[in-house]
Amino acid sequence: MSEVSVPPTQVLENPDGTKTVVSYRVENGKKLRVTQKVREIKVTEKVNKSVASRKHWKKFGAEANSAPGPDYSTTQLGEELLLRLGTSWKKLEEEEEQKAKEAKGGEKLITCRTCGGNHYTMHCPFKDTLGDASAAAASSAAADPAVESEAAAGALETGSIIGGKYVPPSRRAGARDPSSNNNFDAYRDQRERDDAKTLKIMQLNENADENTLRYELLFPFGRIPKVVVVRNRETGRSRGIAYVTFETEEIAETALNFLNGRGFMNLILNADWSKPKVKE
Amino acid sequence: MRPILLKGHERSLTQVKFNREGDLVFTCAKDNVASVWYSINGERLGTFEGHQGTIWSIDVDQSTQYAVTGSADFSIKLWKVEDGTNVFTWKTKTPVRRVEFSPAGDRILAVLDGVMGYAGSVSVYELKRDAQTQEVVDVVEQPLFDILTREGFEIAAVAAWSFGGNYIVAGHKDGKVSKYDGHTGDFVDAAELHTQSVSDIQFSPDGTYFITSSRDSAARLVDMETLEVLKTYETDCPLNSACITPLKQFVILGGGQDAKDVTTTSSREGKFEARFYHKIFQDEIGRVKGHFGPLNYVAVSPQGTSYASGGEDGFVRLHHFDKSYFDFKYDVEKSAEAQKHMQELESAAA
Repeated sequence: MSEVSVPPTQVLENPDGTKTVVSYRVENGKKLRVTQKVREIKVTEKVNKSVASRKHWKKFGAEANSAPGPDYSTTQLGEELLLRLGTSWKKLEEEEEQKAKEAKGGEKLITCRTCGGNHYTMHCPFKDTLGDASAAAASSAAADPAVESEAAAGALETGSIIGGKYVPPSRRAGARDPSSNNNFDAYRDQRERDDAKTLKIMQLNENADENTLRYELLFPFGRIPKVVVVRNRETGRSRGIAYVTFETEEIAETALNFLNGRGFMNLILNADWSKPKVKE
Repeated sequence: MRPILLKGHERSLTQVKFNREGDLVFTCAKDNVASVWYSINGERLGTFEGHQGTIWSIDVDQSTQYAVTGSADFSIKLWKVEDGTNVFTWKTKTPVRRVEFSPAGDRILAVLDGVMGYAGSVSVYELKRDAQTQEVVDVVEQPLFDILTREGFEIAAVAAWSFGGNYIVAGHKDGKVSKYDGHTGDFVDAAELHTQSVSDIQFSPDGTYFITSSRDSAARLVDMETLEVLKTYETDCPLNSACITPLKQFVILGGGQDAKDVTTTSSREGKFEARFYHKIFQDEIGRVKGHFGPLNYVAVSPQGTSYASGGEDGFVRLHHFDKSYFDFKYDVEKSAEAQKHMQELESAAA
């Protein structure tokens, strides 16, 4: 093997500041040429001398025997906070509260069985006029089984009692069976992330934290409700994966097309849906 | 902005301090242990153990070599920050409510409580340091001087050094603020600034003016030379602490209702928020929620890039400001800047 002569490695300086390294090697009796294009970046970080020396101090007191790095029992990360500075912050906050209240009111916590209004059935102002009508409908339905389904549909709008009988929510028309596998929403936890709007971004630089992602990578995509960088629990170092939830599915899709294969902090990103989409 | 929660104390926090470079955070609480943390990630470097009672106050010198704590166990302790060893202990007549190093680090002021027949005082203790290494070579056990509570004043609650250690400013329980010569302890001036107890005094980075906070729900920015009120910040709850942010023209106020009323109201009504006011315009410009008890102390790093708050709930919340904080400007500031820019362009063209 050694008789196959190998030319020395060549390093060429390119005009754009990059270097081309051409090296040769022998593998299985074949001579191979490897051409690499390299860009060298020097990152300088200025740290106060005394601060740097303090970083190497040994722990003492109650921490004398603890491992390096923050201890989860004493140090935890809090929830993301929004410090919105401005003279009108009070107004903004009030507006938001009002909106939240309205959204809650929109769901109608109380529904009248007689008229469907936002009050208790017993307080219904139309009790006298409408109350008899629904009772009559129910009784006529019981008398004539042919119109039962129709009456049931009518009763559904007014309440869950059909012909004086209670019908559990799962048996009502339009209800989904929670035991079947083809609907995921039935017992879904609201706090879980919405996979339809969430991307998984892989091959991130280790130094990229939530804020860097927000301000340097994701700023074109409007408000980002949630960015989570997956970290090692012990050391707190990023594992190069982040889950990003976007406002809408459309934005998430444009972001996916934009981010996948794009370079960010010297690494080429790999973006995908957080869970593979179910094919319809 | 994601706060780092420091849960090293079992009881309510009494003081939180940054060192000069802002890389370490010193905390003390009503349990008997003081802690020091790295501010960058919230890792605890160690604890100072040895006090027998509530530690009311902690301070660190300019070179981050020594820390001093004042405790309700009638003592002041000097610690080496590097390894947490207790260098010296001063015995005092009454509990110590506040301690602070002079800017040069050669003197320590201590506010002594007025109990058990003692009138209460601001006492100054002396250290002898090596001129080269700043190491403490000798400690004087007897105080250099005691500033006893004057006639017509209630006892001092807090005190602080001015620029160069030239003056000592003390805040009293009756809302008065008094000024003394830092070298001799002679009375210089006094002013009635608040109607209730002064809860905190913190100086500006250059030591020429300070902010007082009071239980009467107001904080005031006061000139050190004349004791003249420069600005007033009115809030709707008793204040425990106030600080002046470097870098940006803000002040941060912390407070909340009395600890004894906390259990009777919801955390929403308790007003347990850090309030940001614009230092010049005196407007409230934002709040940071998070604590579920009153804030006992707020401190901002000397670089102005992070702040920490210690609460009655036993937590320290350490916040590193994000971009929106540094970008915030009033419209008038923005237009003034634009005008300046235009003038520069014009002068460059001419």
